This record gives sequence, structure tokens and C-alpha cells, in this order.
Amino acid sequence: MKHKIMIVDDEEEIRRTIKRQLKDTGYEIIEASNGEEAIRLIGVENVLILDAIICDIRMPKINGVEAIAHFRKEYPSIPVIVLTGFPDVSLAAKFIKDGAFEYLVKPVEKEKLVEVVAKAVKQHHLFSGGGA
Amino acid sequence: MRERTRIFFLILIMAAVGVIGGGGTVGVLYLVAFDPLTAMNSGAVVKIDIAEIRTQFMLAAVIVSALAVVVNVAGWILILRVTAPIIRRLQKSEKRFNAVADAATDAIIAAGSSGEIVSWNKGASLVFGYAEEEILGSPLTRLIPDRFKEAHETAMKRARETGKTSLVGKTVELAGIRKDGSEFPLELSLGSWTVGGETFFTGIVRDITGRKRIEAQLIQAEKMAAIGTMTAGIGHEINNPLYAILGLAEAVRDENNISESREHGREIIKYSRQISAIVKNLSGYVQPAEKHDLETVDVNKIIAEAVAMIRRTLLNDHIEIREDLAPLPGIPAKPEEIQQVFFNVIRNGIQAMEDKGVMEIAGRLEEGRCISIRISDTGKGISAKNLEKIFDPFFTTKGPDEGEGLGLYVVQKIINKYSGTIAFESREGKGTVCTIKFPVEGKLTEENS
Repeated sequence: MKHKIMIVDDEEEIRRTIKRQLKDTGYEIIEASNGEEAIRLIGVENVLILDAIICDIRMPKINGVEAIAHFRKEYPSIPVIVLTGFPDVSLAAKFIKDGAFEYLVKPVEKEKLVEVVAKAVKQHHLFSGGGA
Repeated sequence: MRERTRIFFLILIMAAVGVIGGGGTVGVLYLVAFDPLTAMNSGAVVKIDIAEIRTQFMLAAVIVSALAVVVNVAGWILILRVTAPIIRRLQKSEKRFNAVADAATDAIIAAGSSGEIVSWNKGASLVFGYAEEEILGSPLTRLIPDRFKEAHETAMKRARETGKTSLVGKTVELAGIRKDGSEFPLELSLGSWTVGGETFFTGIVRDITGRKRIEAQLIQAEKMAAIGTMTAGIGHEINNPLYAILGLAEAVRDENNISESREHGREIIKYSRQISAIVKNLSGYVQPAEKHDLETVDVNKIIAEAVAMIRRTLLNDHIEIREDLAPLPGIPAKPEEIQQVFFNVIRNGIQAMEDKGVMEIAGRLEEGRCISIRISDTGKGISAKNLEKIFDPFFTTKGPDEGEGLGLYVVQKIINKYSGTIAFESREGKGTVCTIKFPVEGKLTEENS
């Protein structure tokens, strides 16, 4: 089964960069350009096969803070990786406390992103009982 | 009878008119008065025996002498008991004044209505460098930089004509010039008094060079602290294109296709330029205030820049910032200080709204005399108790890591420096309105009103 990752970021170039960095992993990628679109998409996607969400914070309409709060509440088993330009320690602490899987500050190197996403996917399978 | 005849003849022999004294042939002393009666072709003679009136004369003389002594003694008592203490008090008061004036490190200078210096204390010598003897009688203009002389002359002329000066009773910041020609910032408190119809002015002048330096440092430190609170926003601004560059560089590293790599290279250049522009913009914003000359500052541009900077820190678009700025004349000021004023006030309003709300920034020209900027927010508001303290240094309702409480203190200092005003109105739970006004120079007002 192909693992499925959702990327939520309002900047197209950033979504393209993430996709490029994850290209060799073979994950299936779905994209959303803001929190609102992500919440709508996750509703129609088969949640059981969504393995991780990579989410930005500052976005129009529904931002990362609100979107992540929604994901954690509705889909607590899906690991959320915060990937943001804000190098803010207190913000990072808040997200980790609220259950985010990891808080990554852009720019993040390909190897690091691949490693974090792989761990998240693994955790999702452990908790949801699915096989990799 | 024989004696009387003698006197009569004596008078006739002497032909004296009036009263004379003389002795009789038997040694008795007389006072004799003669007055010619021309109508009757004769004269009247009156004689009195001195012995008969001596006792009364002596008594009168004694009484008059005694009275003279009494009056004299009373006079001296009056002088010693009443006048002398007054004189002593005046002397003491003058000594005390001189001691105070000379102990003061501030310059205390008095001048007549034509502007000539009539009093000069030691502090004045320290501040301006002139000894008392070389400055007394000189015009005040010796202490005033050339560019202010005309305004000074006009003010003195008005004071002579109307007996009033706009500065009396106030403390104002001006500039002075020392004996060595160097200029320095000063604070002047002016008073006036009138003696015999002539008006005199007393100025207490304080050299505020040191204070100005500390104030400038404080303003700069506060500005850097404000910028510090925005590092997350600035980081976000830079980190996004930086991430794109990293991703593209990784792609070049892993790419075998040359034409693809070239395309990535072009993209890398594009994002690098983007970062460069952000940094350039930012370094312009945080430039220290080195320049002393005032510029004509476009407040609308300053507000737009501050809003753009603050927008970078917002995590979402739930906070709306509406700008409604009429064309405004420039104000003479240091741009970085006006920038600091608006950056602080706008940021405070945004922070008060926490996650969502509306900020409105409206700018108007009021009667062509001053520009008025109204910044309102729909945030949590300020309690009446806190409203009284918002300009106090180190007063803050924010957390320990969110500022030192110097923001509005510095804002008010800057605004006062340019003769502007700042006022807050607030209702808890409803929001806050901040109104900032700056006077506009006459010339600019006419052009734009």
C-alpha cells in the first residue's frame, strides 16, 4: 500500500520543494493551499490511509494553528508535522504540547524531512494497527 | 520812668525796627520792640524786662529740648527696631539668593526687556563658558545659535510691546551656543518680573546634552527590543525563500539533467534576490539614528511601512488592518523616530486584539494646522486604572518576555519632542482609540490645505 501524505502550505513553491524532497520516498502526496482546503480534503479522503500531515502555520482563511487543532481533535491518530518559517521556541513548545509530532523550521534539509516523515508514518501504523 | 526814657532814646539812637535786647543803665536786661507809625509821624516802642519772662523761657527751652531728645531717641529706636531688621533680611535674602544661584549647576540668567544680560550666576559660566564680567551688559543673542536669532528678536519685540511672552511659565527645549562656538541642547524655564515699569526676564537654563544622549540610547534600545519581538515574523519572511533555495540546490545536487539544473539555478537566483530585498528593507528599518538634521517626514509612508512590518508577524488573516489616510503634509522630524511611534502604537493595538479584530488607521489634516492620526482597535481595551499609567516607564501588562514597558514612554517622549500630542481612550472589552497629532509648519500647511 502506498503511503499518503498531505502537504498544507499557501506557497506553491514550498509545496513543490516538499514534494521534490519526498520524491524518492514514493509517498503519494495530496496538497492543500490553506487550512480550510485541508479540512475539506481530509473529510473526503480515506482517513485510514492518510499517514501524515505536513502543515504550515501562517496561511490565509484557516491558519495552521486552527487547522492543526482540528486535525488533532478529529483525527488524533494522524501525525502532524509542523513545517514553518517561524523560528519561535514558545510556538514550537505549544504545538508539541498540543500533540504535534514534530516542529520543523524552514529551511529543512531533504534528509531530515525524509527521516521525520518516515518516523511519523511508522508511528501512525503502530497506533492505527496498519502494516507498512 | 527815667529808665523807660533811656530805652526810648536808645531805640531812637539805633533807629532799629523790630526787637532788640539791651541793658539799662542799672544793669537790668530788656527786650525792646520798635515799630514806626508813619501815618502818625511817630513810632511805637514796647519794652519788657527780661527778668520777668526768663523763667518761662527757660521752661519752654527745657521742654523743647526734652521733646527733641525724645523724638530723636524714638527715631533711633524705630530705625534700629524696624528698619534695620528689614535691611538685614534683605541683605540675608540677597546673600541666600546669590548662594543658591551660585550653587546651582544650572545657568540662571536675568535680562532686561531690550535683551541685555543683567545677572549671570556661576552655573551660567559653567554652561556657556563666559565669566560674569565679560557677559554682563551683552545681548542675549550671544548665547543663541544664528538660526534662532530671528525668532528670538521677534519674541523679545512682542514681549516689549505686549508685556507678554509665550514662553513665560513654561519649560521648553531649545539650543544654546557656548563661548567656544559649540552648540548644545538646553532646557529653558522662563519667568518675568517688573520693576518701575521695566520688565525683566529670568531664565533657568539646563544643559541637557547628557540627557539627550541617554534618551537617544533609550529610544534606540526600545526600538531594537521592538524589532526583536518581530524576529519570528522576519524569520518567516526569509525562511520561506531560503527553503525554496535549499530544495532547489538539493535538486541540482541530485539531478543529472543539465538543462533541469540550469532551470533550478535560475530559480535559486530569483529566491536569493528575494531574500536580499527583504534584508535590505529590514536594515533600512532598523538603522540607528545617527543623523541630527530633521527631514520632512511623510507620515502616510511611515504608517504603511509599519503596517507591512507588523503584518509579517500575523499568523492568520483574521486581523484586518484598514488604512484610510488622506493626503497629509510632511512634518519636520527624524523619520526613524516617527517610524518608532507608529510601529509601537500599531503593534500594541494588534497585540490587544490577540487572534482577531479590526484595526482602523485614519489620517486627517485638521484646519490646516496639524495632522491627526486615529488608530483604533477592537481589542481587549485598557482599564481606567491602567490608562493613567500607560506612559509611565516600565509599566507593562504584558508578560516578562514581551517587553520592558518602555514602548509608550518612548513614544510620548518622541511626540512631545515634536510638539505633538498623544491621547488614549479605551473601554475594557471593546477596544482602544489612540489619537496622535503633530503640528505642521505654516508653509507646508498652506500648500496642502
